[in-house]
Amino acid sequence: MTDFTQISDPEIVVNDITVFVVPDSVMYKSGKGERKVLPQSAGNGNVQQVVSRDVNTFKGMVKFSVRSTTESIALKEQWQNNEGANVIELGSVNLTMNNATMINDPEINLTSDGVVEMEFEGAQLI
Amino acid sequence: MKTEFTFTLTSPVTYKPDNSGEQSETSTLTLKAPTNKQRTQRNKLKQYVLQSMFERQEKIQDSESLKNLQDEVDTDKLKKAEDMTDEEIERQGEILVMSLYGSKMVDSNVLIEEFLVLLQQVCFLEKDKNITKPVFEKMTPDDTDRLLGAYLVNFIRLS
Repeated sequence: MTDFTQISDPEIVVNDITVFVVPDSVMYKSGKGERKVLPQSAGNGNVQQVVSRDVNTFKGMVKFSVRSTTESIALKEQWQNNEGANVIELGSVNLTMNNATMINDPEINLTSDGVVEMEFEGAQLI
Repeated sequence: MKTEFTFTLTSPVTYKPDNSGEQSETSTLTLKAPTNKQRTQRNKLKQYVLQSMFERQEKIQDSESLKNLQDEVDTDKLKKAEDMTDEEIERQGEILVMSLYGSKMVDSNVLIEEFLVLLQQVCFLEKDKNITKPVFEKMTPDDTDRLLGAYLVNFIRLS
């Protein structure tokens, strides 16, 4: 039976550690890449479509935010130093991104409602 | 006296190795003996084992079965884990785990939670890499029960 439940409370595991994230902050791209559909014509209206894949977009992306806690900041340092060697698992959709690198340099907001936004890119999600 | 043993899972688990950016699979876990740092969890498991045995003792009527059960808690008569074969450890572990699950005094969910807290300190996927809750959750329940049985036989039963 089809499940129509919105996934709004995903489980995130980074390097085998469960991460507490800010609700509604998680997003991902599977890395299957962008495509263009280009027409080609043999004349007289005989047109076919050609699919062109942009391999520059064949990379996974995972974004999430965490609260500005001592633990989160320590984890952020670890992950940032671990270029190309982080593994991110999205439990709710059963997808994994290997060889992940944190591509942004997160701003740490030391305020009462401060968050740390992190963005990773890596291999296509599998 | 044994200070560690190796356990083989029937279903491998995936984890992130320390020196790699990709997930890997393993079937081999290394388990170390508890220290005082794990005293709370070790004592809780030991309590559960003894409670289940005493409960069984109360229910047994014939002297033969009662003697067999008393031999199970008589530490002078029990074989040490280092003198047992893997099959004997597995069989003994099965009996202990079945007793625990069959005991009214043991909450099986609390049992596994305490075991998980212990495992995160004494169970290694590779050198210096402890098992974590997300990796533990990938194990099958049968492997978890076998692992619990093996740990009880090796380090809790006679301690």
